[in-house]
Amino acid sequence: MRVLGKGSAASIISVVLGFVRFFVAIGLAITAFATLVLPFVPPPGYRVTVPVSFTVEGLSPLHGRRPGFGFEVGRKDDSAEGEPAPDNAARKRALLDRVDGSVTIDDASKAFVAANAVALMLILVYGLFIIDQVRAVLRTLIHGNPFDPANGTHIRRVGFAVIAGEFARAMLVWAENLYAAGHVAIEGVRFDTSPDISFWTLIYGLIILVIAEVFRAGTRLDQEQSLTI
Amino acid sequence: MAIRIKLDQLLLDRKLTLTELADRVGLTIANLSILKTNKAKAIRFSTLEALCRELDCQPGQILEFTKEP
Repeated sequence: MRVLGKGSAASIISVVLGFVRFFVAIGLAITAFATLVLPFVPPPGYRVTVPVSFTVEGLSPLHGRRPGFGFEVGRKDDSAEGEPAPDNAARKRALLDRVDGSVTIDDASKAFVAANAVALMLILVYGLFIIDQVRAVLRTLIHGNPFDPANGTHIRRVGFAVIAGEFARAMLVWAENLYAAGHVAIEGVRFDTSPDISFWTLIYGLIILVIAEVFRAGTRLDQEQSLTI
Repeated sequence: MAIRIKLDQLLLDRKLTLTELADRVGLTIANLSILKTNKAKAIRFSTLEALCRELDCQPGQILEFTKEP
C-alpha cells in the first residue's frame, strides 16, 4: 500500500481522523451546552462517572496488578495468615494495585459536575488539537510533500501535547481520586491519593519530539537539495 | 549571502537573455533565475562548467565574494 499521494494509507487515516474529529467536535458542543444549562437544572439526580485509580485489598483471592513490574525480596507467604474460602484454598492472597477504572458517583454536587464538565471539554479540545496537527501532517503526505517546513512544527506540537497531556491526565486522576477518597466508600477499595505519571507515555512524547527534529533536519536537507543548481 | 552570482553583467555584456542561456546550459529558467537572484544554496561544478563554457569566462567572473557586516 502506498504511503504518499491520493488513495494512500495517509489519505485513509486522514479520512478516519476527519470522522473522529467530527464526533469529538459534536461531543465538545454537547458538553459545552450541558455546562451552560447546568445552573438551571435542579440539583437532585446528578450522576457523574469519573476516571480513578485504586487498589483492591482484603481477603479476596485476586491475582494481578496494573501492567508493569513489581519485585519484592524476602517477603513471607502470608496466605496462611488469612482464612481463604474453602473453594479458593489452592489460591494465594493477592492485591490489585493501582487499577485504572471509573467510579460513578450519585447525587454529586453541582460544583463537582461543573468541574468535570470543564475537564471533559479541555480533554476534547486537547483531542481536537492533536487530531488537527496529525491531519495537517497527513495532508502534506497526501500531496506527496512529506518535507513540508510546517511538518516539523506540527509533529513537535504533538510531542509536547503528549507530554503535557500525561501530566494533565495524572493530575486529573489524582484530583478525582482525592474527591472519591473523601466521598465514596467501597469495601476493600482504596483510592490512590498520590499522582501516578506514566513513564512510558513521557518516553513516547520524547520519541515524537525526536522524530520532529529528524523531520526538521530532513526538511532542511530537502530545501538545500532543491536549491542546489 | 557572502557569495554572489554576477550573471546580470555577464548576460548584458554577451547580449544574451536568461532564456537563451538556460537553453544553452541545459537548465530550466526557474533554476537559472534562482541562481541569478542569489537564492541558490549551492552550485554544482557541472553547472559552473556549463556557464563558463557558454559565457566564455572563468568561475571568478561568475562568483563574487562580498564581506557582510
